[in-house]
Amino acid sequence: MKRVSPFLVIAACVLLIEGAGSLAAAATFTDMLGRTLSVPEPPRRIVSLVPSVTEVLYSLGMEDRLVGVTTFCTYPEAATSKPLVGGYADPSLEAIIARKPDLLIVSAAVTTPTQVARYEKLGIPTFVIHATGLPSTIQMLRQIGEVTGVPEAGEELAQRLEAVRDRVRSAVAKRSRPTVLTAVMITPLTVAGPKTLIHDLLEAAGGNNVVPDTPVRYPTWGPEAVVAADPEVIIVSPHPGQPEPGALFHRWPVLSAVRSQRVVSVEADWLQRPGPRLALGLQALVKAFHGIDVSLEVAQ
Amino acid sequence: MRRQVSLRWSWWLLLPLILFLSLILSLSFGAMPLPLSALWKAIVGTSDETARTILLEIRLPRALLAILVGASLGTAGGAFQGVLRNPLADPYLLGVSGGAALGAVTALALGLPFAWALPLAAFIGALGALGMVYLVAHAHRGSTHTLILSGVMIGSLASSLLLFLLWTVPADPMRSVLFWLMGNLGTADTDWLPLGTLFTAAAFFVLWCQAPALDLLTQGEETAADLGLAVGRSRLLLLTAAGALTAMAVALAGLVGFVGLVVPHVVRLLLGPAHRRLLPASALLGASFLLLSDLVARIVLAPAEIPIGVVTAMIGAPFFLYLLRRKEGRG
Amino acid sequence: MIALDKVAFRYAGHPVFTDLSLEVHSGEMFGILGPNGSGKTTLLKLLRAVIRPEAGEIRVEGAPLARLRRREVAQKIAVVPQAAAPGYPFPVDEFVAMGRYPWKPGWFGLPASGSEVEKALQVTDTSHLAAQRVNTLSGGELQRVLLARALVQDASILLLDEASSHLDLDHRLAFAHLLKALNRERGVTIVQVSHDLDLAAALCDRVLVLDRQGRIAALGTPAEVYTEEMFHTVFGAEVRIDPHPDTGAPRVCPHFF
Repeated sequence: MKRVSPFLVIAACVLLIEGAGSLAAAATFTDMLGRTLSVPEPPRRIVSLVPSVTEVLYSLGMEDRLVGVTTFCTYPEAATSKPLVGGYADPSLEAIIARKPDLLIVSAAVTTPTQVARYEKLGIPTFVIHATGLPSTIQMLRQIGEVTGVPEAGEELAQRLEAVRDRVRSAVAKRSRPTVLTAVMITPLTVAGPKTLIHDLLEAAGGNNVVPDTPVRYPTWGPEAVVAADPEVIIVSPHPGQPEPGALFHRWPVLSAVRSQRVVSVEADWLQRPGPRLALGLQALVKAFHGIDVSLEVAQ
Repeated sequence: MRRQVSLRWSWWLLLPLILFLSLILSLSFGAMPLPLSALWKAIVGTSDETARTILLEIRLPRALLAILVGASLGTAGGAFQGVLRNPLADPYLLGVSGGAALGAVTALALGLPFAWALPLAAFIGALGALGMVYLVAHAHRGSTHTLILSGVMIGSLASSLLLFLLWTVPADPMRSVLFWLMGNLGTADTDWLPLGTLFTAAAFFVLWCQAPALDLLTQGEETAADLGLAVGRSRLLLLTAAGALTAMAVALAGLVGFVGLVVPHVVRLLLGPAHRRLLPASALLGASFLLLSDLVARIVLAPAEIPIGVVTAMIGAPFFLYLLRRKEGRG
Repeated sequence: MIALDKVAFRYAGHPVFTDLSLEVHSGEMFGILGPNGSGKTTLLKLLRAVIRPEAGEIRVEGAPLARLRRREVAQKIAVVPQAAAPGYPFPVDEFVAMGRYPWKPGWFGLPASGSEVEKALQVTDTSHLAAQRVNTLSGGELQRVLLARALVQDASILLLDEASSHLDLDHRLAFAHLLKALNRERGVTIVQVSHDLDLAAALCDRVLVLDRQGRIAALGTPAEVYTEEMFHTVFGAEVRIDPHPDTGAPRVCPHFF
């Protein structure tokens, strides 16, 4: 077919454009809060209000359909050139509508039920994710794949993370587990408690979180609490812009982790953004805890 | 009358005793359970290293900081309530809190290092806002009402500038500043302690010498002038000293609420309003109060720490109401 | 003692005094009378050095008032204000001791006040109130305490701004007796603004009457000043003057109907 009739091309285009709405069948999905929503199959204009979801969408190869992101969606770097709709907690409703999304993805952690109801009322199908740990993150990868019409790709992402998790688990299964403290903020010292994604990662990588269960997921600790808990490893994972972590911990040579030089920095995103890069976080943790290098390659 | 005088004297034994006991309690309890004997062993140097570190390098500096900040806020609160003739005045009323916050956030927006620039910037911001209030209110001759209203306005102005800056600064370092501003004795750099102590002592001495002037100012500007006080000059001196005390406290520990409001009030109920007694008693009681509040904040959910402002309000408000009711009951 | 020389003062652009010259003698009991808006209180404020004259000069014991420092003014002039809510609940003895402030030595010291305070409390018959808090006093008690505070100032001049006018009759009379005694026995110069014409006539050696333009309408002994014509022109009131049956001081009887 060397020569294509211009007429045919135009007709095809018209058909595509005209029929886009009616041709795309709507499918019903259940989001991570158990809400059901009807989304065109496949959605073509996706707005993401969640930095980790933006990252997942790129991993799924959906960047062409991503038409709006937040100012916090900084990974991958290409995402920063997407049209912005505001911050993740306080996006501009107008900017969202202006992007004419046929799928909006938000997080239960920051978007309130009132906001979700508002989006729904404006006819924007809204998918709410709720990833607070490792299992729910893996589930999220699958569900994002499904709702965006690429279930195989989602499944593959999920399996890859599961594979890394399992490999890490079996590598550390017979080893003694060091006690670990993870600081997500230096001033004030804010640590990750048991009901967090970080906790799941620590456990999987063969460490024992020293932070007991309190009503606060990320409690504030004084130096005394650190000295009293005396963790064998301290993971420092603050977002950029925090004070130098060394200054805080190295003042206390009484800490085992300081004496044995096991205060380890891990990039915040690797431990805190529920997405494919958690594999990097697991890899870094297992290296810090047990000195084991785990390959991220997945055997087919 | 005699009975009352002897009662007053007993307070001067009781208040230091309360402070001493608060200090011992504060050193004895924490995230790590240590027996009382460990305290003694740490002092004489026979304890193990961990206990020693916890007592001498963690609990003691923190307790000293609490004493310093509590004493500063108590004294400054008493002075502000006198100068402004308003028992509801607190040390942050005249734009000090807004100024401190603005200073801290500005330092952050400029990317200055957290550890030393933040207290310094907060200090400058707090005193700067107070100075501005003073100038705007024509306080050399104006009334206390103008002063208070100007304070509220400058405070609002600082807050709006603060919101603007917050909008431009990335969220993560911002959270640190917000936490820091909420009041925290745990994050302060203990290197500031000697300087802070010296400074606080100097400001306190100035205020204490000026106690008779404060008494006069509670009678209103005109009466104070009739009684021989150069009102404008005296007010400038008092506001500067009290403002410096507050700014120092904010720089060291952020905005610790309630101490400066409630402590002078309680002291007034116990010892009367004369500032020669009110100021030192407020310093002693403020120090004890903050020590105990910090102790509660550290041990209730240990090892997690709850914000100190929550504790000061939760202990202070009911206690204050109790005193008020008891006082009313006695007529 | 107190001399005003061609004093001028404007308030918010309106002239209160344009050219006021006046002398109050040492040991005198001096009354300032006048209708509302005649500048009685303004005159008192000028004497208290709360405000400064725009032209002219006020001298106290020969010294220009404008050149004196606050505490020097307070060493010469004590003020008894109207009894108002006294704010913080000072005990009476400490409240009265505030009057010693002008004699505070240096920056750090406290003025010795014990004996002065005790004396003043005795003179004003308030010794039994010494430990009581000022906010619990009755109007009459508070007024006497305010007088005691002015007395410990040890000033040779007392200024009173309608100090007793809102008190009950018995308290007002007791207060008048007290002033009289201070004036006679201690030689304190007393300048008081008053609305009580009869009491002023009975108490004062000389009275000053200001008219609505802030000019001196009359100045002299009550007997000289209290005339039916003066009350007509200055106060716009029709009155009859007759002598008090006991003292012979002039007494003002308004025509009611």
